[in-house]
Amino acid sequence: MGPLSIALEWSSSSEFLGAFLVGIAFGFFLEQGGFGNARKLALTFYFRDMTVVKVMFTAIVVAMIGSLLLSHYGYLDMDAVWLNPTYLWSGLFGAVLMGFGFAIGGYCPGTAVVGCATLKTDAFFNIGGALLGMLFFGEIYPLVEKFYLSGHLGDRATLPAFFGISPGVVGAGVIVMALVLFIGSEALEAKFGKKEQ
Amino acid sequence: MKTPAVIRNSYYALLVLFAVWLALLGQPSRAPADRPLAPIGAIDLARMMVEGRRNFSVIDLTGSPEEFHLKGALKADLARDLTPQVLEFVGGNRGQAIILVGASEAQVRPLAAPLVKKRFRVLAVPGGIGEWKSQVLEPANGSPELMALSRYLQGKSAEGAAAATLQQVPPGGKVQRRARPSTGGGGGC
Repeated sequence: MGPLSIALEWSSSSEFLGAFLVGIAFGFFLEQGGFGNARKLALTFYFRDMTVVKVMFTAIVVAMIGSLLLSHYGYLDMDAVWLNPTYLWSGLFGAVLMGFGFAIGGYCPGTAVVGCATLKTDAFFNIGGALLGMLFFGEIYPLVEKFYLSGHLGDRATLPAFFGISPGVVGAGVIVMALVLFIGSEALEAKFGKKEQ
Repeated sequence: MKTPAVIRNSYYALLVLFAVWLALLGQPSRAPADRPLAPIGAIDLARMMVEGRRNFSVIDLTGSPEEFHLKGALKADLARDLTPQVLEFVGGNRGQAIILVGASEAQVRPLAAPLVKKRFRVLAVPGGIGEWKSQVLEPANGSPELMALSRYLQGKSAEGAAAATLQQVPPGGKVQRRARPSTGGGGGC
């Protein structure tokens, strides 16, 4: 039973190598999808090109369906998969902050790395800013620790556990949400996007 | 290039099908997440030790004499030495399995329960040294591989290391550990 790193008894080095290779593949497909271009990414915020929304939600839905089905039929032990602890208030604040950064800079962290891989100057500035931000956060952490740890919902807070329903029902809900987003994105592109030749 | 309508509609239809499939799944049939202990077989543990795997820690609670010591295991007394904090310290990285040899599940459960939330996996190899000896160290009707393993664990055979490939040793149970959090990260963007 997966995860593979556990089933195959991978060492730490093997785990890092596996993560590196998956990361390279992920970055390659992001770049092929045009995610290394800040102009294309920024068009999302003007509803003119919703590729980012469609690609990211497709990735989310594919990964979610795979995880849920593999877990349900006994091929993946989700209890052995690491989940980030949930700190609600600092998480919400961080999401808003990242949204501003994304809208201003044109990149989110992953796509900025993809931009760097193709030597985009603005992507290097984005990554530099992110590193400076991490350094700044590290320095002021004692001052913000209380807020950082606020709204702790647990180390493995999940929607099925929170609402007391099965993971499959939550998964179906996410798919419906994705469908609404896809259809809405198409409508927005038709209204605001450039007419294709 | 705009996606052809037939591909787009097929994609949407596929998603609807998956949504229905997921909604009808019900609860998974796997073991409950909060099970703090999982028994494994003594032979499995012996095999892991011979193979030199490093993703688990072993605590020997059998009180066995030195000649039967488990290579690489920490000797301890259940009542005197062990607390959840000690287990966590021994376990090191989260995601490690901590294997307690010579204690029953009931004995170890209070120690293990606080660690589950911290992503440790605690496994018990029940039975005292007598069971350990009969299964691993002095098997009555063991296969050649098992006999080689037995000699190796008792330090009687240097070439016993060759028994590391013990594919034919009958498994006594499946060992599981928790994933290490090293790959934990944010979303995909």
